[in-house]
Amino acid sequence: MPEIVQVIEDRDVRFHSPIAIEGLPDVGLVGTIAGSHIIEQLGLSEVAHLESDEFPPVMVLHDGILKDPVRIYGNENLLVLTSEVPLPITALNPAARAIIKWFKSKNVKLAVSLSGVPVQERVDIQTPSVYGVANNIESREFLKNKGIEVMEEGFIAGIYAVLLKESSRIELPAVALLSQSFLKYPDPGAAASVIQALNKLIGTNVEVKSLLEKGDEIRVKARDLMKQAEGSITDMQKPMEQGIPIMYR
Amino acid sequence: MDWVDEVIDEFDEEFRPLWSASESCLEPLLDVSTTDDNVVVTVDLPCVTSKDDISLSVTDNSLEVKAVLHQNLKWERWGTSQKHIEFNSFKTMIHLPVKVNTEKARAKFTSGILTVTLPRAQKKIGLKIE
Repeated sequence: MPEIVQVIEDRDVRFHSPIAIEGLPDVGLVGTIAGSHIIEQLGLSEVAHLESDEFPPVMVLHDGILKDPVRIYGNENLLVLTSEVPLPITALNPAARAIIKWFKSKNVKLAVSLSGVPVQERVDIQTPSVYGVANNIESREFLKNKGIEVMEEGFIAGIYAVLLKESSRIELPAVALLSQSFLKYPDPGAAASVIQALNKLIGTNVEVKSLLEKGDEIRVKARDLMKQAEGSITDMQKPMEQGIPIMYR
Repeated sequence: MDWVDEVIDEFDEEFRPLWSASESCLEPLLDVSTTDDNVVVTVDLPCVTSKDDISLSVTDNSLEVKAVLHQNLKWERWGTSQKHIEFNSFKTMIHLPVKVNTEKARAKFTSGILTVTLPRAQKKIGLKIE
């Protein structure tokens, strides 16, 4: 029986134990905005795309060329997963399984999800803080050693939660970087913070000045995706992230 | 039938584009929440630089927001007819979930986010337990 979600390779790349970055539509579109900026700044080209009957029947045109909306860009050392549509709740688990399985087959040494954590007072925060979530003890220590504040207790929900879970299942080291962000408004400022944390974590040098300079333009252009993502954010049980877990350990 | 109207309204809301070609305006993202005392509306207004470019009209059950963009926006590679449209403003009409006291409404504009706080018209009355 074919997999529900399939990763289709568009070109042959010989990877050297790359790091994989996941930037999918979620709170404040932090991951999507950050992922797009990284792809643009590092000049990464498309290496694969995802296909599934569970995805919305949508294709996207760029330079007059038809493309699948969920794509993976990269080079020998870095992969970036991004999407121009929100993933439906029914596709999250099979998508995570397919993505992480493919990463493992390419000898990915670390998967890093980029996302946001909504805060009510975001409008008054000049530079959003970034928190880390790890899928095992080694990843947690790696975050701490790089000066990323680790979230110790709480719920996480959404696509990055299932990506972390799936990474654990097949023993792929994985972390999530979560920036304070708006819940329902595209947040380039939060995306810039999360990129700076990523630079610190894995030694990339992606500048964020240009991202902040075109922040208003991004906020206008991302309105439609943000509105579409609102429904899936609710479906993903995001409000649970504000809850206190009842049991410890 | 009310439920049919509700379904149609929900469908319209979900699939309505966030722009109007005839008015050359964009519809902003917004959020409406309620507290014990207030209705709080926030509106995302990127490309609006000054509070002087925003006009607000409030009734006891609605809020209209209009804001002028600091420069017209046009996406020459977008869609078919859309690429000829030049947008110059944001505009939206918000139906409030409860009646509000318009005279005590207040607004602030910070980092491109408009926040309007509208006190509920009907105040709660404390009830003594017998």
